[in-house]
Amino acid sequence: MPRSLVVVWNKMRALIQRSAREADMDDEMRFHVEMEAADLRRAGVPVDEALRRARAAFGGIERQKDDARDAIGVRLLDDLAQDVRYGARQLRASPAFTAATLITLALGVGATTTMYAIEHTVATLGIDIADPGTLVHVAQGTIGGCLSCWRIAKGNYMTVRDESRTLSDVTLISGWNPILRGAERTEIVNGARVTPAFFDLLGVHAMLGRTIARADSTPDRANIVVVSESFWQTKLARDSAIIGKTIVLDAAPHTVIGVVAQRFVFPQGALVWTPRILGPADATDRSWTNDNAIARLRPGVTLVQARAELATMGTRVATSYPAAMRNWSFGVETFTDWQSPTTSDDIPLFVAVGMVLGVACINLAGLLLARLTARRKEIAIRAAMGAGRTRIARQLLTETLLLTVASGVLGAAVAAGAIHVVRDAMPSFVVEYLPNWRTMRLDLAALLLALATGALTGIAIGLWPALRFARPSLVEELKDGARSATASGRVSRMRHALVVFEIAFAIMLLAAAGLLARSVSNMHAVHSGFRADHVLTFRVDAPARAPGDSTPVDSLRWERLAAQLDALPDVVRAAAVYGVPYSRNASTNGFAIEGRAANSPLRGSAVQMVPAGVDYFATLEIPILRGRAFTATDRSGAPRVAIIDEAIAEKFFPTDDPIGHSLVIDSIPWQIVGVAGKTRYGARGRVISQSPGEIYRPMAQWPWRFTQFVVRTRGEPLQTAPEAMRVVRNFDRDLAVTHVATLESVVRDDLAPDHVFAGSMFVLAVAAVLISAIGLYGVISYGVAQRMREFGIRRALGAESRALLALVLGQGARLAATGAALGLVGALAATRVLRAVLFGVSPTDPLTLAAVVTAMCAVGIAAAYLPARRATLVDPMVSLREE
Amino acid sequence: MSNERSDLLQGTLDLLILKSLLPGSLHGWGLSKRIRELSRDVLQINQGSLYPALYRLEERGLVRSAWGISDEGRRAKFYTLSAAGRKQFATEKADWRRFALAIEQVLEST
Repeated sequence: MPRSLVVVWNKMRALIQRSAREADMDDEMRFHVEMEAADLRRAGVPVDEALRRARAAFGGIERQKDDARDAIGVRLLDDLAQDVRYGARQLRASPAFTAATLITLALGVGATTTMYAIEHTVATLGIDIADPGTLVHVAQGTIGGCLSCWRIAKGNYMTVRDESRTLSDVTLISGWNPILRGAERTEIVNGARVTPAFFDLLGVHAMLGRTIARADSTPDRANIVVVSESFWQTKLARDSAIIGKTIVLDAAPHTVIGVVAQRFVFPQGALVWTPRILGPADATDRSWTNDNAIARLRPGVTLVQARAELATMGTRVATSYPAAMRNWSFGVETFTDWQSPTTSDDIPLFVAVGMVLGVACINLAGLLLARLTARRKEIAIRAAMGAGRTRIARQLLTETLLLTVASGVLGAAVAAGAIHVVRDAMPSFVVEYLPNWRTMRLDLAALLLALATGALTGIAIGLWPALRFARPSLVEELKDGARSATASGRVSRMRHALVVFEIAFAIMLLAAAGLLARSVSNMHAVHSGFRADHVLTFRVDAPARAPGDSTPVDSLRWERLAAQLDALPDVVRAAAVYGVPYSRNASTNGFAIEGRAANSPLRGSAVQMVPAGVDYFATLEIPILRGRAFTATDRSGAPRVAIIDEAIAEKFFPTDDPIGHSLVIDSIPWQIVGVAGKTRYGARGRVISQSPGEIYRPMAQWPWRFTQFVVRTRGEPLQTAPEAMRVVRNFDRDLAVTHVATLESVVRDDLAPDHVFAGSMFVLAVAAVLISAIGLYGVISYGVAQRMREFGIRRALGAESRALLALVLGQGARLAATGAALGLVGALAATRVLRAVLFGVSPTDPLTLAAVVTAMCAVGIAAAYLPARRATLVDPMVSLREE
Repeated sequence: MSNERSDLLQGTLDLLILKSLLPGSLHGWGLSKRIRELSRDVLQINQGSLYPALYRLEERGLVRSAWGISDEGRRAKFYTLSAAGRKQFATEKADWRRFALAIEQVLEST
């Protein structure tokens, strides 16, 4: 056997035969000491003295054994096993400390991991694409502004495609939501019209048939379609002979040429793709930025080089099309940047999560400090018995790590539970945009990171005292009364400081949670300007007859459908409208007022433009303040009319009567016949926006291919839904109905992200408050235990229970108040971060801050109450005898 | 007994153990006594530190150990030099001589 193997073998054998070897070692050393003593006795030394001298000459047996084990090389593993056993015993022996630590760390680790999982899920794209690093989004934008934030016009796409030397496979993608007529129901399908390079560019191959190829760019190829695996499964019954068959999309037959794999869902949620066919006329379109373009950087080309080339190209194009391209140029950004949703809204939550972990770590530090102080004697005894300094340090380290590992398991459980709750709590309209949301799960890396933070704190706090204690003046430690030693006082002060910081952090989180809660309740309380109860709403789409087609076959179509819905027995009134409040469907446009200077302040001011059916105002009970509502005579061919809302009336007609004036929208005049009450058009981002104002035009004079309906019902709105669906289907089998919901739930869903946000903050704040309460409790009870003798003396001298109670509670309240003061300063500085997401409440709202401080002080006093009770129950005799 | 005692120079304990075991096997206490006698009580070794050194030598295969019965009729562990131990002793002795000579020359130089 090679020598190294022999060594390993010996070590393993040594480990296995550990107990036998231990006994041998013991025997051998004891034999030595006895022989030495016998020798001394023969020289005339008395028995006791001989034994003492023999032992002294030998040195500590334990220490020699340690060294001997080192020599054999089994010590490390051996010690580890022993440390773990000993540590576990120690932890079991002090369940309060262990539980406090476990809960603290588990909360901190759980919160951090959950937050990371959410963010990770939101930020990762649910798409399979080849080499995303060199994929870019090409766009046009305003010079000096964001060049890649807009989309691109068809003509500009063609220029980039034909002329760029830095980009290859430039591809145009247009939104396409065709209507699929099924036997049972008609529905809308997510899809895209793409130019031929699309599938090659993204490296996507067909699993059946073929994808769209370069040759598919002539008008006769317009009706071919590539479908996704899931569409093939659910809509085409996994027909393996599907290639070459036709399906009806937007009332036109399309030939299926291929099926692509499940995971590929670009653009967002697409299930069908058809060729985007461009004609010579499209080359002159430089300003209609309706489509997106993506491309591949050519080998060796950097993003900076591509940007420079496109900027030059933009300048050149602008000289040929000075009007359309005024102040515009081209830009590129990475595909990932383009596709990743911005997460800046979540920064406050991230800070909050970090703070909870911080509070947990601070608390862990405090707990460990307390524990070590309580164990000074034990440690000193072990040192006196000959345990080396590193041995003691390692023992403490093992305990800390044991705690961390256990809290990690608990924290993972907390996170798994929290992720589950958050995953199911998110409303479906948000989840729609997050392809990975449903499969969100615990992230191991985040868990480990959070754990490591906790473990490092533990080690920093666990190791420092070990090093201090391991160089002890043993005698001092072992002497009675050493507990009042100065080192102990220093530790106490440090623990107090730690608890103050914890409370400060908790206050900051609580303040944020309180402000958000008030903000959300404000959002609910705000007068929405319409009556939302007993209203059913849904969206109806008609097939497009050509790409980009937006007008219906006949202008009175939606009014007729509304009349049929109106005729249902359970329906009070029904109306078509595109822009149901809070539904995130709204079109905005600029306008001018006839007869006023073109450069007046309203030029270019964009407002909500709403096509509204005759009965819209009556259905939602929006008041008409002046003039009249729309009537059936406001139809195509009749004089064009409009109704403005109070906001526009106040802003643009502060002195004169708006009725009779005309608005110019896209060069066509519309006469104002009425002024309606203000309504809210829902949240923008996370903040409810008072919509800048609305201009209503009659549905019959400004009809769209798709619309929403509002139906006021006598009973529960959803019970009328099946009846209403039947009416729509009988009206036209090609109409697709989506987004069937009550108006109340539309409003609720719109506020859902704010609820989730405020709720998460609240949970985090509660976690921080709990942890800091545990910390405060620990400090106070430690202080009480230290002062038991003092309390005993006070008792003996006649102090009343009330006085002792007040003494200890006062200490708790003082710590809580100090922390609160510090926290308030922090909150005032930090809640400004929240300003952007708060609605109707100032980040320094005194009421909220006062409530938060009061709550925290109450929690502080409650945490101090138990130890305070203990102080009052002290038996003077016992505590005096104890010393 | 001499009043002057020296602490053991680092690394020389192994050499002393090997030398003391040259005549035959000894148990730990016997070994410590032999070293004291050989050095005429000048070399002060912590008796306990003998054992880690012995285990280390055993680990390196320079000594072998076996349980036997001592002169007093008690169970004791006896250490014997292995062939490798003898060879090691020769090398270390030569090294020590060279080292001591070098120190001596330095100290005596004028």
